Amino acid sequence: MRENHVLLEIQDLKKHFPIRGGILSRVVGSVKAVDGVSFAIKKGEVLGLVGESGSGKTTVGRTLLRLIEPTGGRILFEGRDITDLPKDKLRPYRRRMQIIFQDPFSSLNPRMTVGDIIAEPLIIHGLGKTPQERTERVAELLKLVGLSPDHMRRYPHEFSGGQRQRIGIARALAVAPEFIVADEPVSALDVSIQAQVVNLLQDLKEELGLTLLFIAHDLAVVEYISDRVAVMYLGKVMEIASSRELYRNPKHPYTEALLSAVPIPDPTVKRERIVLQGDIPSPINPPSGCVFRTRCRYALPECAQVVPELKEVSPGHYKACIRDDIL
Amino acid sequence: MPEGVRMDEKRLLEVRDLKVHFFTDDGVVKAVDGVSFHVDKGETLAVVGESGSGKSVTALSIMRLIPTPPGRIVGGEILFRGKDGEVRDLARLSEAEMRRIRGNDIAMIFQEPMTSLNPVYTVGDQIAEAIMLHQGKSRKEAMELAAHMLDLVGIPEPKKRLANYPHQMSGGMRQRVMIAMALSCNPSLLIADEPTTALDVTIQAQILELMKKLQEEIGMSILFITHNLGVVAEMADRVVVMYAGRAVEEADVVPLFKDPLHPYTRGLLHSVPRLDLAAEHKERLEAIPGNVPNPLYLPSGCAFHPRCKHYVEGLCDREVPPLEGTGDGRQVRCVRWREIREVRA
Repeated sequence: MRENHVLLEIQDLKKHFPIRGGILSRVVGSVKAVDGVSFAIKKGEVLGLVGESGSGKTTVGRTLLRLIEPTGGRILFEGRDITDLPKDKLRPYRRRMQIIFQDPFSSLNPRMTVGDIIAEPLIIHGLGKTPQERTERVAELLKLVGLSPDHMRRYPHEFSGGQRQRIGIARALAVAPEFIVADEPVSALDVSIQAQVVNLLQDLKEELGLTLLFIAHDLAVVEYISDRVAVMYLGKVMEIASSRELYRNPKHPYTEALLSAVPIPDPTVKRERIVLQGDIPSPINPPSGCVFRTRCRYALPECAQVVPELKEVSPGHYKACIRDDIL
Repeated sequence: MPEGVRMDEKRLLEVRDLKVHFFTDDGVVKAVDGVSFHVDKGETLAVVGESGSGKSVTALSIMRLIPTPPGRIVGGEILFRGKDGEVRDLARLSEAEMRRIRGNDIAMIFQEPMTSLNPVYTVGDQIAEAIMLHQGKSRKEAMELAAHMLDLVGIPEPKKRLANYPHQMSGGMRQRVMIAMALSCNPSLLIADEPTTALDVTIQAQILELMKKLQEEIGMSILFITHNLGVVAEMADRVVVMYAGRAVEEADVVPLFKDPLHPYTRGLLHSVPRLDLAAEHKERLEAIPGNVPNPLYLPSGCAFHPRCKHYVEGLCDREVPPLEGTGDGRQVRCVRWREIREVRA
């Protein structure tokens, strides 16, 4: 395999959820949760996906795994279009793409032992043939995520939040995937535990050569773990750049405001803060043209006319904004 | 003064050796176990801690909102200077006396603005209710004041918004309504329990900005409960760090962040990635090992010792270390703080 080859790519991905109303439950509108998102993730890369609630970042993660079916666009895994693959043909790809969920409390079945939880994907994908083989694999996985093989016989409620998140990670890793969607994997955890899980994910990525889509709203955590970062707002990507470039040199007004809104844990640091007015508009009826223009301090009348394309402003740095005279 | 309670002139609130225990079927949870701190007039004190540290229980105790049973204030004093100038021990007030304090003298805002607003009343009714109750105003006057309050917290078209129900508003708007309601009776102390945790960062920035602005205008003191160190750095004058039901460190905000004395405070500060140090500083995060302890089975001695890299057997696990003054107006609960500080210097 070539270096730098693209493992996963999405092109103009769309997910519109229908809104039904009236006695006939006719479709009266749609929530444009994801509205034309494109990006590519190279093998071994961590792409961070940030955005506020309602930006569509979680829907992107679930749609590209086809946990929910896209309304439009294409999903390519190793160059192969998997957008319309039927279930049986999709299964081999499912093994290679896994997900880690935000809430370590609701994503583990409380009636199953930790061993059974981690072994389940092995059974589904026919990987561990005998119970003994599976037990060995589970023990190995538990060690890999920093737990003890003795924990196999226990139930999820016997573990703390951080430990449960480790169990969720072990389950995702069970089938030796190449690509993992980590959907807010640390946001439900205590501050002192977050760092443990972030470090673990980073070690695993190195050790197993994983490719990650790291979805989170915590910009500092995303910056820390990601090679490149995409910023979403109201179903669209506003900006993509290398992590370093994006944080040092944001080109989109939304990224600029988002970064300035994060409180820095140092009382001696004084920064100019751009306080965005108002709330995220409804994705049912998003603003015309640039979806961010209603809260943008640089907006011009033209911003309402055209939907800005994501265009390259410097090598590898893309932004969706018609104003080139700012930032 | 009736009970002969005395408190320094500039103090608004002084919590002394507060103990709040929960008597559960599985045993006694010492949620707050001997916590002392004070809030001066006009200042913002942040209480920081993770889940189970006792920070929220401390806040609820001051409002006397601990669910009893199973919880109970089993010891300590909560001295508070009322608007009338009189110092009372809130831990010993009757429910009727307490009701006059709540809302009027001390108001509280919570993390989840959706669950703390009543879904079947309009926001106007809810704000006006507090005003009528505490200030004896007519409904018409109260509604006018409610509109004024909504305007004050930056809600556009306040008169129209009075007729809205909570579900018609966004999370940030609802938190503004909560703040409007809390401040409608001019409290001298606002207790804010994780007020921005459920909000997006851009909305959080709006709310923090608003709280700072209102504090300047109204001059109330704020007791800010949070786990977010960034928010602490931004809002607090002074900080109390809590761990497993006890205060482990107290200091002014700048020295606390610059030179944390307790290993737990230091660990917390090092375990969060910092956006402003981005890129150059991509070394590993210094995670605190282990888990937050189970409050039913707290470790012996210093509750942090199983996770502490400075732990010395026979020293740290014997007795609960006292909260010691460091001579420069700070306090720390660690028997080894001097050595640790010297080694670092």
